[in-house]
Formats: sequence, structure tokens, C-alpha cells
Amino acid sequence: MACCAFALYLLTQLLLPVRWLRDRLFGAPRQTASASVAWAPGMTVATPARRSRMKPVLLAIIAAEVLGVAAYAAPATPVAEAALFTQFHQSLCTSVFGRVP
Amino acid sequence: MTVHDIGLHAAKLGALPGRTGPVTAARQRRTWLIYGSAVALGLAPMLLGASPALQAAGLGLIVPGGGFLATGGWAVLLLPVTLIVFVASLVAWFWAGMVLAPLVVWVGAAALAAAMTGDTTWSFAAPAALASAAGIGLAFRARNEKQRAEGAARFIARTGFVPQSLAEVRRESAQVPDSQSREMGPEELAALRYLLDRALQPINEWGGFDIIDQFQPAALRYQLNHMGFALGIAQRAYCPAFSGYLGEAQRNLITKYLDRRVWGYWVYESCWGHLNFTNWDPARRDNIMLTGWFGMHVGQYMLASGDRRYLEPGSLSFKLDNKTTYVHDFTTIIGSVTSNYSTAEFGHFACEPNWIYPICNHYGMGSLAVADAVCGSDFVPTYLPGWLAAMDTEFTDSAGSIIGLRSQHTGLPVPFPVGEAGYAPFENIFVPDRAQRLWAIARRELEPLLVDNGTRLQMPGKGLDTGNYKAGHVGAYASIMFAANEFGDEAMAAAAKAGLDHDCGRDMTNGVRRYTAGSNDTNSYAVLAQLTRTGDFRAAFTTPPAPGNHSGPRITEARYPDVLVAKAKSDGQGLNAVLYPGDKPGQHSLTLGQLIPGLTYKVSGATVPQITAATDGTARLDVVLNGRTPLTVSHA
Repeated sequence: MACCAFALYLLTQLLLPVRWLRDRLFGAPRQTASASVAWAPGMTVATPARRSRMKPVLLAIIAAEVLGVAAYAAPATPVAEAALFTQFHQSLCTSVFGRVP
Repeated sequence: MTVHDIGLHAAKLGALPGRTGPVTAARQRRTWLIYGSAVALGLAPMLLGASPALQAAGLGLIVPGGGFLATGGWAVLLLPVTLIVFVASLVAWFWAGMVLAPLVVWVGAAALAAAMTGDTTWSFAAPAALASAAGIGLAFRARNEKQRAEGAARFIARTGFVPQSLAEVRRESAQVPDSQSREMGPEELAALRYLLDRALQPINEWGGFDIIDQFQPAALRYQLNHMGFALGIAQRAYCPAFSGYLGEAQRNLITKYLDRRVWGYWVYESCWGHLNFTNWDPARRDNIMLTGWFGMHVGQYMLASGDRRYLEPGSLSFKLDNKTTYVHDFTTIIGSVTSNYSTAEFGHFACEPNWIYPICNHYGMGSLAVADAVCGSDFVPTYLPGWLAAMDTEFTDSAGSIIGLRSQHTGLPVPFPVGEAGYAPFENIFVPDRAQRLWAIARRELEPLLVDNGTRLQMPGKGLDTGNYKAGHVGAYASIMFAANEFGDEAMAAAAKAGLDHDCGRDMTNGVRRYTAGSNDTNSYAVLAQLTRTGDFRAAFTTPPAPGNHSGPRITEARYPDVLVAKAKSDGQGLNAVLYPGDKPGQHSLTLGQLIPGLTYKVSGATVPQITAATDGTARLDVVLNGRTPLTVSHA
């Protein structure tokens, strides 16, 4: 659903205050030197900044939770909620694309 | 002391507290009229006793998410959520010209509320929606009033210090360095190498560039432009008689700019901003962030080098795919700027659809200035009066500062941080008197940031690097240093340089200087700042190098990075150069060009005392480089 990609973009904007709060509570992530600025001829690709070791673990946990909840909830989703979702999708997306993409 | 003395004309007095320009005022009236109509339309279903769904939809027109008040129950919580999403949609509008985004969120939320509303509505929904709208409106009004009052106070404070500061700026700006004797030192060469390393790689390689998004300030186009500006300063001010790798580097950047990855953002912005799904020519309507900047960039190269290849039809064409190419050259790029100015209601025109940035319009007028210098046109005298009048009436706040960003459709201003120091060097290109006033204000207002007995600037907070959206002050320090150097303010330039070195991770590895706490874009700006001396930026877009540099003997080939050319000047008869070794001392070859065929020249600083030009006007010689090495070539 193309419109959902746009919605996802909006969602990422919503996370900005969360990131601000995280920085205030736990401190901002350590600033690393820019990989592009460190580049010199002979380096084929600018190396990305070192990633947090915890990041893959956290992502895996979140993914497992989301998939688990989805797997559990899907068969039992009430008809009314499914209809509401469809209605939501149609009302939002058809106004953009003229049809349900 | 009058307000006129600090650069405010009589017309601008009308823009002081509570007043706006005529076009802005008309747009704002239209905006409020449309909103008032929406409120009336929104209340109608409730007043007429229409269905609950229609009542909810109506309240949704009064305030984004207001319809959820009619839905009642837990759905009321969707009102603040919608307001947050609406703010996000404004960000999308601002970020990428996505004109439809706020409309979709606002109307979509109303439609969703209508769909969710049952058989009844909350009885206090209408007063609550009106109160929400009024609350938001009053909050903005209070903020605007506060800002207007603060601006007026700042304006009055400026009237106190500007006369003396302006006198100092005028005195310092008049002290232009001697063009024949100046050369780059090791620090300048190390900074220049940062750019040359990137610009001399193959065209389709992007090592050392930040590739994040192509809409906002981290976009590749801005990196390319700023790199080009700095290399152009090196060419004109230090090495006008050196083509070789310096010319190749500049042409490479121009060629990279034509890559679809650089300008392809316009395909999207045309669609969702102009609702234009067929013609995505980037040099047609709006998009001064491309035409103005690229026009300056290409024009500067041609003026400094004497190379006129970009005047050839099709020399700056944007290839979309195998079927479509938007054919352009320097004159058509400039033609886009002039045609947009000819029809610009605000006197300035937009970058992204709807958004007018005065800073980009400084680049636009800069592009016309360099077009006049290269082509002998008279665009600046034609368009500048209207441009300045618009600046004074439509884009000036109560402090006398330039408003950073205004919505073309609604007339509403949006905060965008470009201070006097950011505008001053660009205004110096085409209206130096006003530019000096801008710098006279900036330098005084920066003084509270001086530490260590005034020898170092210290920026507060974490800052923002617009080249990668991370924290950092490289751009801020570089902007101040650049402006200070352009106006000959050596003390402030040194303080900004000290701040850069102290706070921004100065690194010198293998003879290349960089600031590791910055992005590629702001590092490029720091190189521009490092190379600029009094009046260099203005001259780079208005005045070709001294006569003889483009016709006399020149260095046409030198191996990079073995041979670093710190100076190359010609009086039309001989050559006066200064060379440094790159990575290590050694003997290296140079090729000279534009010599008189068959003539013997006397040489000093090379392994031979004389050379004889070949029939094509070239000659080769060897130099032994071990530190600073002067090289002179003159008639025997």
C-alpha cells in the first residue's frame, strides 16, 4: 500500500520527541567521526559508523514481538475491527489515489 | 542616527512591528478567508441538524482531528494524535514540497471521524473544537507578538552599535590583498586537498560524499556547489594560470551535478508539489535551489578559468532516461532564473514548490551577477531593484533581519536559521553596501560568544550540521569565518578558525585537513572559508582574473597529489608560480602551455635554466620539490 509508506514516514516524524526524550534521560549516543569526511582516495566505499551491538538484539526482540502478536491476533480479529481498518484505509487512501492501492 | 543608517529604507519602516508587505498581507488575508469559510462550512451541519457523520466531518474542518470530538469516547484522544501528525505533514510539506500532505491529513482525519461516528455526537463537540482552534490561534498570536517585540528591541539595540561597526567594516573591506603576490600556504593546500581528493575521483564514484536525502541541505547538489565555490576561489585568487587538475576537478563536479541522482528529486517535487506528472525539467519553474546555485557554480568556473564550454548548447543537459533529456546550457539555466523573477509575485521565487527561501534567492541574484560578468548581459541592473524592494517589504522582520522562509501559498513565515553572517557574503556580490551593513550587525552580535580574551569563538549547545543532520558546529564556525574573511575582519576570522580547530575535531592526515565532527558539506564550506580573503567571493562572480592570466603561459599538467600548486599567475608574457610537494619530496614533471611556439624562455626553480616552446606552444620541465618552491618562466 503506497499510502502506508507515507504514513510510515509521518510515523517516523512522531518519533522525534521520543528521541529527544531519550537523549535527555539517557544522554545522546556517542558522536562518531563522519565516515564520509574520513574518506580518502583508495577507499572504495565510505565505511558506515560503528553500530551499537545492542541494536540487532533489540531489533530482533521487537520483530519477534510484532510477529508474535500478529500471529496470535490475526485469526481472532473481530470482523468489526477488520471493517474499521478497511474503512480507515479507504477513507485515507482513496482521497490520495482515487482508489484503494 | 536614523534607521536608514543601518540599512532600512523608508519602505522597510512599514515592515516594523505588526506590518507586512502587500503581497504577504494579501496572501495571509486569502488564507484566513479560506479558513473562515472552512469554519463556517464545518459548523453548518451542526446548525442545520445534519447527520452525526456530517457533523463530525464538519468539525474536522475547523481543526485537524476536531471531528473526533463529535465521535466522543476514546476517539477524543485522536485529536492530539492528529495534531501531531498534522505537524508532521507540515514537515513533509516543508521538507520536500509535499503540498498535498497537510491537506490529506486534515481532510483524511475529518473523513475518518465521520466514518467512526455512531448515531450520536458529543454535545460539547462544537464548542470544544472552536476552543481548540482558538487556543491554537491565540498561542501562535502570543508567540508572534513576543517575537515582534523582541525584534523591535533588537532593532533599537542595533541602531546604537551599527555606525561604529559599519565604519570598521568599511575600513577593513577596503584592504584588498595584492593579487599578484598572494599564494596558498601549507594550511590552505591541506584544506584544498580535501576537495581535490573527492573531485578528482571518477565521475560515477561518490567516495567522501554524504548521501542521505536529496531534498534538504544534506543533498548532493549543495555539497557539489560548495566544493565548486571553494575550488573556484582557488582558481581565481591563487592559480588563474593553472588549468591542469584544478580545472579538471571543477569540471568533474559540474558533470557529477548532471547525474540524475543529484537532480532527480525534482521529479518527485514536480509531482507532489506542482501536480505536474509530465515535464520534470529541473530548470523551468521554481527550483532556484538548483538553477541559482548551479548557475553561480558554473558561471564562477567560467569566469575564473576563461573556459567557455558551458555556453555551448546542450553542455549542461539533464538526462532523465533513454527517451528524455532536458537540454540546457549556462544561458538556459540563467534563463530559468530570469523568467521566474519576471513573474515572481513576491519578487523572489520558490525552491521547493511553495517555499520561498531568501538565502536561495541570494544565490539566484548571484547567478545573474556572474552571468553579467561572463556574457556581458545586464540582468542585475534589471532585476535587482525589484529584488531589493521585495526583500525590504516582504522578507524583513521587526528586527530588520531577513525572514528565512515564507510560504508562497499562505503568506505565512516559517523560522529558518540564516543569520546576517550567512547572507552577507552573498549580498556582497551584487550590493556590497548592504552586505557590509549585514556584517556590521553580525560581528557585533557574535561578540558575546568570544572567549579566551576574544581570540576564540565558542558556539553554544550542540549545534546542527545541516550536511548530515547530526550535532555539530562546523557549518556555523565556517560560515562566520567565511563572512569575516570576505569582509577583511581578520580578528573574527581567526576567532572562528580557533573555534573550528578547538571544537570540531581538526585532523591532519597525509597532508589533508578535515574536521571529523562535520559533514562533507560543512567541511567544504570550511575550505571555502579557509581560502577566502577580503573581497574574494564578490570578485569570483563579478571580475575575471587580471589580464594575461588567461592568455599567457600557464601550467597545463601537473601530477596530483605529487605537485601542489600554491600559486600560478601570468602577466601575459611569463609565469610566476609556487609549488609544494604533496606526499613526499621528489622530482616531478610539469607541462606548460600557451607559450609562443619556438621561443626560448628563461626558467628559475626548475632543473633546467631555459626551455624552448614546441610548435603547439607547450614545453615540459622538471622541478625538484622539497618544501616551498618558486618557479618563474620569462622571456629569455
